[in-house]
Amino acid sequence: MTQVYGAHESIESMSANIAAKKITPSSPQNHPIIGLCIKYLCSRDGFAEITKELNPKKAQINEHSKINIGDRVAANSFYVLVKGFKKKEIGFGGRFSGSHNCNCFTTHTEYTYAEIQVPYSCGLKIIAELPKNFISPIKQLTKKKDANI
Amino acid sequence: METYNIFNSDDDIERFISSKSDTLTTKIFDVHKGQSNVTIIISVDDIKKIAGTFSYYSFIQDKKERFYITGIKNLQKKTNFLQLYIQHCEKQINDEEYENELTKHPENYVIDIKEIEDVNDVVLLSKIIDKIDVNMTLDEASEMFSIDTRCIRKSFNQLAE
Repeated sequence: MTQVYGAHESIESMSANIAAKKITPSSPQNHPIIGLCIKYLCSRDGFAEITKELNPKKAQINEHSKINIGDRVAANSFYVLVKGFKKKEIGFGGRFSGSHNCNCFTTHTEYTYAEIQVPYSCGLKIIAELPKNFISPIKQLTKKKDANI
Repeated sequence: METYNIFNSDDDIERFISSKSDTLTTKIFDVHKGQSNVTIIISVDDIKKIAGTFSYYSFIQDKKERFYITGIKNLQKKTNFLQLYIQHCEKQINDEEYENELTKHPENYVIDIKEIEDVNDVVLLSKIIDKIDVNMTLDEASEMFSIDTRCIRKSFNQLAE
């Protein structure tokens, strides 16, 4: 179960839970890999989480996509491609943050692809401020341990 | 002082040069523009160079025009889809009718996403988006100009190398 925040990071699944403060259907598309699908735009913070893995378990659109059950993308804005033209009921998703509710929908047995458009700004700031030779403290500790051994 | 010589193919350029030049390397052309007559002196070698530039220019203009037309068509399709979606939300049509309309008339609603023909098209696209003067994410650009996001990313990587 991993959560990704970076720009253009994605998940692929057979079924997923999608929640965001604003969800709008964008357009039907004929994608070169998955064929006919509908694109949904999810903005103002949200996430998409895998509830059912692909069968066979192999990423189709992006080889770096997360495909394990429980994996999720969380971002300021992301888009979702759902195979087929079946209309999804976008419903009330309960409390999302301290003072905001969210909308949500679930895809059942339809190929679902979610990719981050705009990541959280705090993440971008942190990455921009990090020096180029930065090594995370955890990596530094493991390096020290390896050296001691 | 302006001249307008647009060539569609290399054959046109050769025909133009052969018609205007005999054995001379320099030729005088009279250009009539409105009521004023302008005389320009160009050597044949220069013409070949200029003609090459003109043919590339027209090729780029053709491509740009294709992108503009695709953009307008896709916006029209998005509008059609939005109208259909509103009809469904307002319960003027049911689920079955909504899906039937989409599957039976995809030409009115479905945006075809294609792979990019040339790596340099991405540069052309970025110039067009600059002119539109709107902040666009990668997938918005892909949706508007019918180009796969993976192709755009790959092309940018290739150009950066």
